Amino acid sequence: MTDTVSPGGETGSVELIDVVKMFGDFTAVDSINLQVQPGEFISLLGPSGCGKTTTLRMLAGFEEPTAGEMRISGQPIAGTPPHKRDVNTVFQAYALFPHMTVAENVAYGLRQRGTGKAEMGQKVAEALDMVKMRPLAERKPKQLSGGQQQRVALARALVNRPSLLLLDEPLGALDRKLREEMQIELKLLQSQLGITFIFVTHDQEEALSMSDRIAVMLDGRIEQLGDPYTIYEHPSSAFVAGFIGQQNFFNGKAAGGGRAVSAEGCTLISSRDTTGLSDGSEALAAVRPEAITVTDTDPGGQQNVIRGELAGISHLGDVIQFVVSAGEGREILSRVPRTSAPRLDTGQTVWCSWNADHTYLFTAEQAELVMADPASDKAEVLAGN
Amino acid sequence: MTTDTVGTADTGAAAPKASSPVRNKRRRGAPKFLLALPAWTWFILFFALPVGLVLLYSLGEQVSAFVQKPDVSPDVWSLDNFDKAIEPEYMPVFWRTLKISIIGTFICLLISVPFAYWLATKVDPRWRGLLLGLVLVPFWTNFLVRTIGWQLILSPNGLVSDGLQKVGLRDDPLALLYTQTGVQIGVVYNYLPLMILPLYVAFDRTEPALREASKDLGASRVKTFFQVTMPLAMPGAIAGMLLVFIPLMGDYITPVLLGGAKGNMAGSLVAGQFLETFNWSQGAAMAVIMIAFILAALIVAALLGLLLRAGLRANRRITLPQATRS
Ligand SMILES: Nc1ncnc2c1ncn2[C@@H]1O[C@H](COP(=O)(O)OP(=O)(O)OP(=O)(O)O)[C@@H](O)[C@H]1O
Ligand SMILES: [Mg+2]
Repeated sequence: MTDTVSPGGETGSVELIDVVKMFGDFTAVDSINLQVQPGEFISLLGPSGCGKTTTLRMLAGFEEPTAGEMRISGQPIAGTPPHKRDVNTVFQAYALFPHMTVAENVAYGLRQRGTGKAEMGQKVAEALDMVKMRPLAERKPKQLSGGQQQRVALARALVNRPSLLLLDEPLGALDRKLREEMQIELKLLQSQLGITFIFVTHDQEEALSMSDRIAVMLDGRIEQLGDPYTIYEHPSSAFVAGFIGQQNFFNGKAAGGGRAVSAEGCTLISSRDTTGLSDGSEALAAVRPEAITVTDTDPGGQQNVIRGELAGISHLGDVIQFVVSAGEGREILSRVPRTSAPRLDTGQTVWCSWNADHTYLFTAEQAELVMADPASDKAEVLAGN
Repeated sequence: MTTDTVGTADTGAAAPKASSPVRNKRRRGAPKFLLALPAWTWFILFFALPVGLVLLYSLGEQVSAFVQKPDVSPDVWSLDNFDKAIEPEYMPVFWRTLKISIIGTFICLLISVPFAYWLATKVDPRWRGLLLGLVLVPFWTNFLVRTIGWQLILSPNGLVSDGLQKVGLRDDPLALLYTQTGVQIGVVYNYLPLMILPLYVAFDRTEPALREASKDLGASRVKTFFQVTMPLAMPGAIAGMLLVFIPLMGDYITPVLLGGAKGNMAGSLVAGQFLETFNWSQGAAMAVIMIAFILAALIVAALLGLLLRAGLRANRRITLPQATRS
């Protein structure tokens, strides 16, 4: 409306501008830039120690940034104490008050605002209904399961209707089934309430299934920011490719005009655009397990085909995973839907093949953080370099 | 043999009938009783027995001014000693003792709560040990010696009086020694560490994440302290108050050295009967009255505490509207 409102200054927007946080001479958050739209569900995804919690703590007001600026709803928040910020947090370990009942925990934020008793009862009841915890309102936190505590923590934060909700690995302590249920409920709640969510996780599936956008972090920096599709399909570096989903990595030399990598006696060709690859330079190729088909006959051709011996078959629910040993410790993972999986026996000779648009190529620079260990589940990050 | 039956005992109800339930029960019960045996022995030898003796003596009668041991044969039993103990000569001393102890306990609490909170939550962990050590330094010195030290400080030509005169706050010497105020200062000094230690432990155990959650939900630092931190540290405060109040009620070194006649306490009254008048029966009766004072004070304090807690809970309580049928 007026010129004083900065772009993205609506309630619930978040801006981080060159935010740095140092602990002594250790840089925990290294010049982060992030613009979050009101009502957006954004995930911070990254390995342990990459600065996710630190970023949230700066937004909540428990740490002051060493440098840079932060704005919530267009207002700079530097120097505003935590209790005056229109932000609530769902803590990693829930941090429920042990001496209060579930209902009293949820009412805590409202009471600080001087809400009247009747209105408070109404709102607490609503919030507890939202997370289906109404029947346990009179219990103490100690008498609740992990999942129930998690719901209470969520209700305690949401009852205040903050412009921004920060969630620090809220589902980390739950078992897989409950976690998947909560993911759906949480996403549903978020879209109903229209509150901006910044959601920290180190579970890539969780981030992919829930987020509008994902910020993949590494060593205090944002490696890539984008919607789940982009992050998954167009990883900007080998680290991101390896962190999101699994990858088979191949070390080699670029060839074919920047379209191929010859590695370990085979040629991996890509139909994707990779900038900066000149023939003969060090390069890394990556292929996802789910892109690879395993056959017991030679599909023909010399490119994107690797011959090996079937070393293992594991049943992972609705997909089957094949482990193909292609000599000298080189193992290739393939995942095929159960319905289209071929009948194969371990020990037999098989061929792994895939389509050229499933080969990702990275320059040495984009790959420097990844150790090409084909047998590893996740790309391993070389610490400090 | 022991090891394999332990295995079946663990499986509980599923255990085969071979080992009877009686044997299992005995096996579980016996070690627990044995574990408690030293504690019970201690309790009986050093608590129940002495208190019983004091009760017995209090009913007896002094034989003569030169015989310490009273006559406690049932035919001389009477409450005469108690009648004497509550005469106006002595009764005010008991009330004064109670007053000094209650005030002393509260002053200790008021000093210790902020200090222990600061030490446990704000001080760099590297310095905590050192500061805690400094709190304990007086404990390394003999109780008598450090109390005599206070004589020097409190006397009319001592540190406090001289200091106040030098600064110009007083024209004439200030006599704190041999007054109730002198005793009050002395006991706070002597018992402060007993309050600080349990409070420090209690504050140290409260999770920082809970304080952050409280602030995150809109409570200021002060509100966070009173609504989250202090309620969670209450066990420490209660332990500290008991540790200070009970020995303080029975203290006699401090009042004797710093109180003189004006600051006399029940402890020195009892000691006088035992050590000077050799009237053990009279001393025992006074000791019983002192114990009664302590018990009564604790019961009143417990009731007040429960009342306070109920009040706070009622204030916090929220009634949810009836669930709407859908
Ligand atoms: N108060 C502190 N003092 C010193 N270093 C700190 C402090 N807090 C965090 N760090 C460091 O900053 C880095 C980032 O920590 P942070 O807690 O943000 O990681 P994270 O991404 O949340 O990791 P995780 O997934 O394990 O929770 C870590 O290397 C950590 O050791
Ligand atoms: Mg963290």
